[in-house]
Amino acid sequence: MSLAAISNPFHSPVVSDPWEGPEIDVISVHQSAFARCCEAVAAVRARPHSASVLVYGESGSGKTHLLARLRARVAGEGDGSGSFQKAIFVSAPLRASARMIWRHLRDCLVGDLLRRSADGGAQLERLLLGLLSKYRLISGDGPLWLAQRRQEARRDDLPCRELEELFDRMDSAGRLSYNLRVALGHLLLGRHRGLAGAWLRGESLPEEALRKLEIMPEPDGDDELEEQARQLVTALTCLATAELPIIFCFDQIEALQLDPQDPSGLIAFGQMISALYAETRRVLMISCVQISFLGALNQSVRGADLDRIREFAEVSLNPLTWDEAQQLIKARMDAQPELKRLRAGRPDSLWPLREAEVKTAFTGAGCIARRLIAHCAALFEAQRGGEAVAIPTTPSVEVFLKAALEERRRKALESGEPSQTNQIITHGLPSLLLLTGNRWRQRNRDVPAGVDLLFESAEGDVAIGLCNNRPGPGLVKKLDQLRKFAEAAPATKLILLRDSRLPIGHTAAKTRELRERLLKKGARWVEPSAEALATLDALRRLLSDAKSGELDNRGDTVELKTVQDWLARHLAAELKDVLNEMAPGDVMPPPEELYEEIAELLGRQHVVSVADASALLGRKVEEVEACAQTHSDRVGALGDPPAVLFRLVTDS
Amino acid sequence: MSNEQASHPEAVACALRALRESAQPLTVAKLAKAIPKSALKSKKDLPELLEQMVRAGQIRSHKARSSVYWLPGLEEQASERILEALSEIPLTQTDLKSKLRSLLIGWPQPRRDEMLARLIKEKRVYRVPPLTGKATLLSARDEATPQDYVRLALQLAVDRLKTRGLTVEQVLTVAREVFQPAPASPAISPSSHDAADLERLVLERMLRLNPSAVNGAPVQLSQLRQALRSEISDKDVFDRTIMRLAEHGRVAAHRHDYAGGLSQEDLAALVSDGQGNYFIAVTLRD
Repeated sequence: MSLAAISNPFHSPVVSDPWEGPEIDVISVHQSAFARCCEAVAAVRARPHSASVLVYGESGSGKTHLLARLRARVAGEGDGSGSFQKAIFVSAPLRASARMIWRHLRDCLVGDLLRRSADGGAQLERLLLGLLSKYRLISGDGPLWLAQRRQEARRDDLPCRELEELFDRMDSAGRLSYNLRVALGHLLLGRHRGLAGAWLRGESLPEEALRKLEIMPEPDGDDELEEQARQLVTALTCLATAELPIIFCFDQIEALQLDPQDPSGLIAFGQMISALYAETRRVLMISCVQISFLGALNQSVRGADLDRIREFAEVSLNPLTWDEAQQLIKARMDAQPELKRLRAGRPDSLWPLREAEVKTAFTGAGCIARRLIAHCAALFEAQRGGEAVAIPTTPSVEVFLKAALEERRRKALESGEPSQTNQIITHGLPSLLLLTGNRWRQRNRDVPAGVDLLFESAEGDVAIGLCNNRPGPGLVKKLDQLRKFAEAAPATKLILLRDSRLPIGHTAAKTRELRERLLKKGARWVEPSAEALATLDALRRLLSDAKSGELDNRGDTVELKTVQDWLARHLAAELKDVLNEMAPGDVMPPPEELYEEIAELLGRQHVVSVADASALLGRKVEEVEACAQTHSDRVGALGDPPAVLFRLVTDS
Repeated sequence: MSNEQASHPEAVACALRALRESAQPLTVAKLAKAIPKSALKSKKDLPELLEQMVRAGQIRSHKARSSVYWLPGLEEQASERILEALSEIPLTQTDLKSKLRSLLIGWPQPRRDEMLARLIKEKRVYRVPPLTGKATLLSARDEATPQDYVRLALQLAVDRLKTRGLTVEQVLTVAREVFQPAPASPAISPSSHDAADLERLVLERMLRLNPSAVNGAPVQLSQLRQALRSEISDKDVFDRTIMRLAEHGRVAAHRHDYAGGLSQEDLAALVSDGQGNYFIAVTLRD
């Protein structure tokens, strides 16, 4: 086989998610940093306390690769020796706002606890089975016991007595609430998995679903939700043991800083680490940060919190030395059997690459892994083509960013759920406003009850209330808080944002009445579309990746400023629409009630004839037809005039 | 959630917020101030509401002083304070209890004792041999370090000499005189340094600025430059020394990712290799 037929070994991407890869891992690279992380794991196994490690590195130096190596090692995928004990791994890229940081961590923790591993079991099952075994409540083969218990659970609907016994024995501090115990029981026995998982993540469930789960409703005000998330995270981490400690990996810390002048995100992160450190045991926290961010971290995070973040160790991922670079290059090439065969016996150990050409990527300080791999990819490509060394051109930044934004938007459309809307808006909207050159400055102190985002602008203060709760006491309370705020601060422009996928039905009379009162007081009602939210999500993810140095255009890290400038020039039309609706100006007309009623009906029935819809809603057929035609972008209709209405699903 | 609580959701939220913002347990009177009048039908409802919250596990109190409340998480913070006190210096149980009175203001004394007992049971606080006398000491470490005993000895000296009218500062001054190290070598002017001296100076100062540097922690170059200002006043000399150390593999120099966006002033604080690369921090190589 000739070189031309072999795929480029340097084209496989660098690790961008600790849950993927690492396909090729040269253990001697970043060995001492990895060893410190392993020592920290050993420390939390050895003593009933938590530990914290801070990892620095240039963008592309391999921070995520290091986490992936650790993840693989504690999952038992490591060096095959089986000598490394297992642990629970949680990856938490911090794309979150300060006010929702615990809710974000809850989502990450639960998401990873429920993540299925290669053997089909979830980390949560492993954790609970380990505890049941430790407390001698089960003996023998845990998975076999679980399979039998699940069969029994399918026959009768009884709770798992061993689990109840376990919680009673291990939870003397009373951290595991009744609801949490019930949800964990369902998940272990495989009952109502979807609903129990959604509750555990913090999603707002309808009463019917809660009844099915036998879970008590909880208050869903903003403060309560954040406190509940904090309590749930600390309660779940109580399940960590010496045999199965929990490792939290905090990545993209830079993304917490929405505005360089606003330290609130970093302060909240420091406080979160301190709280976890104080309230948990057998937990290791690894925080990764770009070395360029060192100053911001030192300036913004409180000294005591910073000491906690780096309590066990602070380590750096150094640029590669020439020796390390050679090992990495050889490992990549030898991972392909055909290429390894071709290379065998060659006097030049880097063949088909030439040492002198590889070395051009090096400065006096060395070379980071990402840059080296991209450089070698170009050199290999040139060699394979049989041409003289001519490094292929890197895509222009414009082309790269367009593709990067589109990719993130596609993923957001595929996986977007209304439960993510608050996180997307609180994290994405301040960034969007900064991009547009809008001089709104976010205020994070003394934010009134009910208000989620508060901005100061030359035209006066602007308050945004996110009204994405399900219709019920929580939403009524929220609107009532906003009503009180509107009365107390009439000069402040109030904007109420609700995901357009969450119509308010005609049965929510109190909600509608309060909204009406707010609109009469001058508040705006804005319903961003699923497309607008997906674009905003893509935008915040792109900015987060840029802030943490993860935008890699063939070895060149695309700078944040470049991304911001490009986004400002290419702001998507739907985002402009949302911004135009929010900008202070004329009062918006109130939302059309009939449209909301139709949307709510379609949310339940998905397809309905116009005749049935008009009968169910107590409206004339012509009214329903006209409304469907007016809102053809949000309501699916067949026939002209429409005869059948259907729920429009976003096309990704 | 009980009906009682459900009928006062705002009061519950206000109480939780006040407790969250407080570093110590709060009395009913203080909680009453944190709850707006409109949130409760009558202030008389508050104690019952708080009891409901205790039963629901949202907050805690102690039978010894049932008019004081705190969040469950505050107990761990209090435990941390106990551990912090003991990590400074080992103490006898009596001394610790006396210290906790000022450290853990607002906590019922039996609860303070319970927290300490729990820390001992959980092996987060250890009993270690005393320097003198028979009473064992409590420590945050499983064995007292030499530094702990030196501190205890100094504490003993301070206590004994207090009766002779010596202040703490005077005792410490005497101790410094007794243990004074050999005088530091005088600063050498930059001109008298050769390259090896400068490199040694930089490595030495890195460790002094951040002792964790020995384990791979980074040192910001702006701080290092500032710390060596009297010895290496010339920017180019400093920059060349750093780059030389990096080339020799003694340190790893970390590039600033976004140097293009920095002001001239900020760039001047970084180290330049003269080829368009700017470095923000250094770490010691193994």
